[in-house]
Amino acid sequence: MRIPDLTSPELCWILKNVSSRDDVLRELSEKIAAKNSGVQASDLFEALLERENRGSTATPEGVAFPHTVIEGLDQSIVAVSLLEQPVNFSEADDTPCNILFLLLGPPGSEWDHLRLLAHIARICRKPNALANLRCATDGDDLFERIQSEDGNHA
Amino acid sequence: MPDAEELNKLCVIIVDDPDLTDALITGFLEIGVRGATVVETRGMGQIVRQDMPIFAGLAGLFPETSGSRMILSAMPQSIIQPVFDLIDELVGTQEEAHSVICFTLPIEEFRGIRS
Repeated sequence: MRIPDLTSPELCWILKNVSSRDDVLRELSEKIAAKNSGVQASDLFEALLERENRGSTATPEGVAFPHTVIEGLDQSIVAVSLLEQPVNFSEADDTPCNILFLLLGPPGSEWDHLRLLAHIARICRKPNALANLRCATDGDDLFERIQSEDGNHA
Repeated sequence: MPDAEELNKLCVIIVDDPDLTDALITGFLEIGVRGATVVETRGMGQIVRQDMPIFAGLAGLFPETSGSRMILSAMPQSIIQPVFDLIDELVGTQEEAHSVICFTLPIEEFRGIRS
């Protein structure tokens, strides 16, 4: 299971003008719904919000992994965002996040979803990988850097 | 999920660092391991240090640890090597010396998972 198989340059963005967790999740929901006709932006936003409210998906390294299983997808997808302005994912978070890996999977794919989440989490434990992703200048560049880091991962 | 007949190895890992335990479990999930039992354990050195005053003067012979965890997981032979590679990778990335012991045992009979 490789991230580049589940994402594309069209699902990698540098986000500007977002200043809160909810702004980020709303904008990402709209972007993803625009590319997947079976997904409703409002449903996705609510599902992501509900998941975050059960416990933040952010890590001390400044990365967040919002994720949910949702109807309307044929396969799992990964959307990756770099935020120009880091945002807190919960009041308890000390480290604002500026990298987001948003994972979506169809119902019935929970184990694959978990495995993919673990795969991405392990890549993000490497400080050099995060430093590389944080240097991306646009969506295409971000996608290429993800390809590179995924390829470096054993 | 492999069926019960494929779960022919018991992988035993003893690790002395909670952070390493988290990394191991994350790696397990990535490899596709779907179950493990994690037991809080104490090593002999810790028992000698804490519970056996007669040996207190010699306690320095044993490394001071805060306890360890034992991870038990039945798995198919096909993922033993990725598990060992994972352990090599994780131990190799630690800045401090940590103790990780990993070995496998054959499982001769197995009951308890619906195939």
